[in-house]
Amino acid sequence: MPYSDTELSDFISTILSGEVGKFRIIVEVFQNPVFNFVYRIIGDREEAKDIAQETFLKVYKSLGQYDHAYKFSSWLFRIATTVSISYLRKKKPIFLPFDEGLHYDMVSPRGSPEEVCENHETSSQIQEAMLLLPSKYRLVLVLKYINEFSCQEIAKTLDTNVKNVETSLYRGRKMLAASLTQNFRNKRYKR
Amino acid sequence: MKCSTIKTYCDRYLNKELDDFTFQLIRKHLSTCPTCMAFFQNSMILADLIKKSLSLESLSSDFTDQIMQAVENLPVPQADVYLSFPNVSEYPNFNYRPISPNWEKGWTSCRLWRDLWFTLGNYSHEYYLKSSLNNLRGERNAG
Repeated sequence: MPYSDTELSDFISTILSGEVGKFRIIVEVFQNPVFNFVYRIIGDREEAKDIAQETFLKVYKSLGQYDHAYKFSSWLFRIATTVSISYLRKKKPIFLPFDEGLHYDMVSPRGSPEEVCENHETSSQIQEAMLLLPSKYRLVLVLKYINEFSCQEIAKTLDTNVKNVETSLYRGRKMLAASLTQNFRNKRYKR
Repeated sequence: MKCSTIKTYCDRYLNKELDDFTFQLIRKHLSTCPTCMAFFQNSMILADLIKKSLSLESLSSDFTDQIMQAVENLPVPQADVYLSFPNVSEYPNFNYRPISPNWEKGWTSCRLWRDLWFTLGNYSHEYYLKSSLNNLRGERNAG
């Protein structure tokens, strides 16, 4: 994070006083984390872009209600969660499989082609398994592993306590592991 | 601590978010319990796998431009009045509420009744004291 919380709250007060151009800084800082978060929750890139845009517009509209006692990123991600969850409610079925081209940049260049292929397969399996999880576990896992929030921050973002976050992380990981092993077993039987 | 409670602390332990006492407690438990150790290692591996497989993407500056264009058409947000409300402790008599004059109008709580209850209370207390004193005296006299 290039800016501290005090600097961000200074930006917000300047925006509220009428200098709208400062909102650009906030968008530039948070656009990638918010997009990645929404993308992992929803699973569709174009829709995720739209929802990230909607999130930022909502943030701008309700900037006057932001309480400086709280962390700005938690407040912003809370808005992102509400927007993406309302989207999921409207559109029940989840898109599977993921769009192509995403996996290529994360495969490590070293390793034999078979290894690369296997890596590719496991990553796509994990992505599919993540999308099949219940949304509350998915939210916690994405905030934890993609946005790298601490348990405390996740609890503040989702408006629960730390104990709750921990149990949902535990259960989410358990379900993920179960679905992955199921996948692996199925493959083994097929071969 | 039980194994089940240790498992719930897993994430905070791996992120070092715990206080020193709990951290040492879990560390001690892990050195003796192989199943918990295996659980912690598995969850670490899974976390690494998730982090590796879900790569981060970056958006272009077109996205920012689009948002800023949309924002310029919107009205400037206004600061919420309720958030800028001064602190309650600034008012010394905040909890003071004067009794409304209606208190004396109702027949159950009129001034007359109130005086009556007061006097009864006072006198009953006095009578009780007097009678108990008399009793004591009587007992003494009898003794």
